[in-house]
Amino acid sequence: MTAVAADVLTLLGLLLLTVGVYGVVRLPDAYTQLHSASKAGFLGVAALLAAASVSGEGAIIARAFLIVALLAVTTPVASHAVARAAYRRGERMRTPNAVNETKDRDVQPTRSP
Amino acid sequence: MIRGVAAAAGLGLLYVLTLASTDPVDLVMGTVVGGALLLALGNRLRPARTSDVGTITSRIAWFPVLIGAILFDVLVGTWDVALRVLHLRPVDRPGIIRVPIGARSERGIAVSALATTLSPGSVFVEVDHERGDLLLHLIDASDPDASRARLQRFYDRYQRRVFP
Repeated sequence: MTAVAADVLTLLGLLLLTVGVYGVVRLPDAYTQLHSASKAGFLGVAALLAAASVSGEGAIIARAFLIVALLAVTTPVASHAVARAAYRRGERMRTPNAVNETKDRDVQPTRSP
Repeated sequence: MIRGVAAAAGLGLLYVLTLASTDPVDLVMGTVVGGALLLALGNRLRPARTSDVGTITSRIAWFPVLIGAILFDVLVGTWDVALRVLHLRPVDRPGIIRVPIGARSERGIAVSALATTLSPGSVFVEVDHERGDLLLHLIDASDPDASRARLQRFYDRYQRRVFP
């Protein structure tokens, strides 16, 4: 039973990571790619760590918990750093109808990707 | 004093988890090392005190609720972003919106930024202190007012009681 649970969690983690990587290719600009790249990665890695924890071994569970907790804190910081850098250097949004409420900065959407 | 001991105990717990040890001696050692670090770094690790923070017990009691709400947001956001990546929902109105800082303290801003950025579908971009706004990039910014209301509702219901 635990082996099945571990397999399911492993598959879920791999699926989430694959979707995250595909999103980087599919989504049009740095801002939207961030949604896919970093955050899907967080849940994907969390699922893989949960699969490792199914063994019930205390040392693995403790370290898995610690890794997930640290990822939960560091992943948003990394995403924010990339997003702020893109915003400050005027990286444009590449969806034609993108919303921009920051008229003071030139991140207006462009027509051509 | 109580805050300092709690912070040292938290660092001690981190130490024990890293070692994956259940030995009380390790917990004591971690707490001592944590306390020494806090003393050595002085006020640099301690955020500024805020007014209207509620009692410490109330904040601790609401903390799991906040974590649960954030995890729920992460699950919903992951599902939504996955559908958009797989072409099952359109990505036609992403964008950067302004969200008023409102009553958030400096720590409250940091926690709001962490919570919104951890959830797929929203990324914290910048703080505009001059206009008192947070700038967020949303993968679906088709209705900025509804998004602002949703974020404010999350703050009022879950975050304000723990990290105002």
